[in-house]
Amino acid sequence: MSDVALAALSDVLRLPNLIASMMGVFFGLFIGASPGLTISLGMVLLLPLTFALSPVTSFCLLLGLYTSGMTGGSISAILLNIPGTPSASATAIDGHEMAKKGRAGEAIGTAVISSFFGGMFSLGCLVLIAPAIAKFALRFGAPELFALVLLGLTLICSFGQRSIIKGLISGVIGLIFMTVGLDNMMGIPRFTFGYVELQAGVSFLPALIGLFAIPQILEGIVIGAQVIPKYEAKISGLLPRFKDITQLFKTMVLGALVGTGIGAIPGAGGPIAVFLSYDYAKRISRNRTLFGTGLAEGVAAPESANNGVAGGAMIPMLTLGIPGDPITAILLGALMIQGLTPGPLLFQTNAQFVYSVFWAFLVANIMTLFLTLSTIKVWVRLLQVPKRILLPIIAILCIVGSYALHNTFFDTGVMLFFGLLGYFMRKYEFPVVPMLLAIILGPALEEHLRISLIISQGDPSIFIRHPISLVFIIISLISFIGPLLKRIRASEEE
Amino acid sequence: MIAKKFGYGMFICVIILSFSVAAFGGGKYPSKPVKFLIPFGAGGSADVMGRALAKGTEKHFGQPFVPINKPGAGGGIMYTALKSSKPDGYTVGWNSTSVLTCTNIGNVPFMYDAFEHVCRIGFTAMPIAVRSDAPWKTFGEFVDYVKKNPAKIKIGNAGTGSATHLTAVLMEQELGLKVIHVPLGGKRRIPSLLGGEVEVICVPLPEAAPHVAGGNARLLVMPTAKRDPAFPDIPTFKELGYPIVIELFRGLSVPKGTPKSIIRKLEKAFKKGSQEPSFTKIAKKRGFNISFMGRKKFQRYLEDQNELIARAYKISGLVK
Repeated sequence: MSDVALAALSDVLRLPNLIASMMGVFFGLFIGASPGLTISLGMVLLLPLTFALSPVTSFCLLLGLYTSGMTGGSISAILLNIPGTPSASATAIDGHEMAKKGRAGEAIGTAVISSFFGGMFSLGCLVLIAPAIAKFALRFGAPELFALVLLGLTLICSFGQRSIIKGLISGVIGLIFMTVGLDNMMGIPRFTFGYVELQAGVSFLPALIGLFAIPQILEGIVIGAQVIPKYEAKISGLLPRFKDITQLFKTMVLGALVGTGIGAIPGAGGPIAVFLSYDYAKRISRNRTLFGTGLAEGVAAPESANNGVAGGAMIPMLTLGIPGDPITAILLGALMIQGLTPGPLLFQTNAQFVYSVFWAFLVANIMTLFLTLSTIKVWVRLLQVPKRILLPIIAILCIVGSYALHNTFFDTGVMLFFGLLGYFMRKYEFPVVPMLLAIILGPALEEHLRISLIISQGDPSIFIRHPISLVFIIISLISFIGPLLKRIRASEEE
Repeated sequence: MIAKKFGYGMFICVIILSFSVAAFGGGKYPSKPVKFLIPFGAGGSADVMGRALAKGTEKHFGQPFVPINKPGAGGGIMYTALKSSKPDGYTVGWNSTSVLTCTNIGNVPFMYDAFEHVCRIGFTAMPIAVRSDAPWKTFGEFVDYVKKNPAKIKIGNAGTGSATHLTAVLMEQELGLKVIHVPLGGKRRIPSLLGGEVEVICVPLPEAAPHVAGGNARLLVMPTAKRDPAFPDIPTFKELGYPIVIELFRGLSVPKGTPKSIIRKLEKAFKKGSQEPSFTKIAKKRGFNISFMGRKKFQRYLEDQNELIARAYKISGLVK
């Protein structure tokens, strides 16, 4: 190890910096676990503090928040079925099922350990091959991003569970909802009926909270909260066993690869990474059919991906001065306030600071791992609260969370609307995840499609002429037609 | 025992005092915290600068400002909320060029004159930038090339109808050029330029500056009134003979009907706040030029900018 790297390490390990990391991790866990409080908001709240701190100390604080915020989001997803951050929505699918079966501790443990793995993997990429990845990621223009998002949307088919038709219906309705509001490119209001509030469109976090959390409350009211089965009172095995973790290794590597890769592409975003990773884990798994019923692999894949995104998004930020996602955009702002210019020059002029960022990210990951693992007992106890008390608390969290995001009650209305919708979808066995995917990916799909066509002056062959885009389109076709063919063959055999 | 009695006495005094403040201070402004509405989301430039200004102004104002983000509809959500709040001085809006864009394009049913404007704090330049390996060394060379190759060059902007788009539209019109406008959005404009998807972008200076310093991008021209102190070599449209001055300004507005005395108090406090070192330091690092304009001067400035923006919308065909 070079002297610069060692000097940076000893700087990061100074007491004030360790305390800053610790504070960031605590705060991040809280922010991540509270629905509606996003990591971006947490960073903005801490930003004024950093003006008075040294660059290294402020990065210890902010990276602590970033790392543990990602992990904290999965805790509320697992325990309460409320994704604290959009990236945690895939974790809720299997994580909450595990919690229902009394395996909440194991689910959180798996989530935390996979997050740690994803974080470490992406850090490795950041240290070793950042410039190469960043250069490749720059080749993702509008057509490439369109094809990537399209690939994400084809997952609708594999999340359609029993009925592909119902899955497609759910997905298309989701896409239609996302056309409400000011059109991103031309600024023209669509389906707003003259209401300015509707111009902001459907924000996806309130929609997510509604779709996931409200149906369980409504079911509680309908069935009667006293009668709904309590979660398993005895919580078996707080931590996942070592053997279980080694079995998840393959899944975690996959998640980390997908997360780091997609994180490094400016404008692609975390949610697409977690769903792609979930789906690929399902495809390579021997327990394919058990996904969605509370499988540890279903938690490990999206969790290693979302912390992979954290390191991945820092690759273009540090090497090119381009943020990979909205959170790194704020980090970039923090760097500039400190008077440092991110980009290729940063490695030459401030090498020690760059190493400090690496070390601070490592410290943040280790702290998050230990802090969460040691508090699992406390978290899990939340589930032993009787449902007639727990459900109203969840309802309040949903309302406050959806309001806090943009400070408007309109978003609370959106949340309740999707809650009702989600309840009836569940009742009539329409899968919710395809709608979720459409809500998350719809705006990006439209935006990149239209930008591509503006660039090509209306020529659709742009998607085939660009090699990366062609590859993604072919994979999309395969993953769209594959499940259909399988089903046709199955029905022929019957 | 005595200490205890003393404690009670103090307690009663405090209660009486606080009641009397409430009773006699009711008419005095400001007597409670003021809502500070921000038209864009947490973490963006409007947010960071707004929060820093609010913090820096507090001690000159005597009451805290509470920053509240109301993003959406290109600022329209915040302006609508501001318009419907009580004109009592306890809600102020952190405006920007968006008060002219979202109104002129017709997305909200009012114009910029639906508010009382307190003051302008400053502005950010939106230069025209190219990659450093682009063949054009000067703006003149670029213009010659575009004239010879009409409808070839792609110019990225933050979205159709945004200030960056309008700047490019005015440039097209004034210089008789023909280009392709690409509404890349805020996130993707720098990657698009560096990755070669578009040849040119119109972009807020703080976003471009690091890439100019890093040797990956070059600025051609500034649409500001004067040359930027950080880039004294880059000419303005104005000195090249084209009447294009569009700045991404930021300032403060209050609902119509707010008493003049309150507006003057806010104006005075924000003027001092804009000179507070904690604010100026951040402003400098984020490429925000502090250039305060009082209420009257800001009013005239808004009229000019509004006329220019309305014209650009007509040219682009967005508004008939």
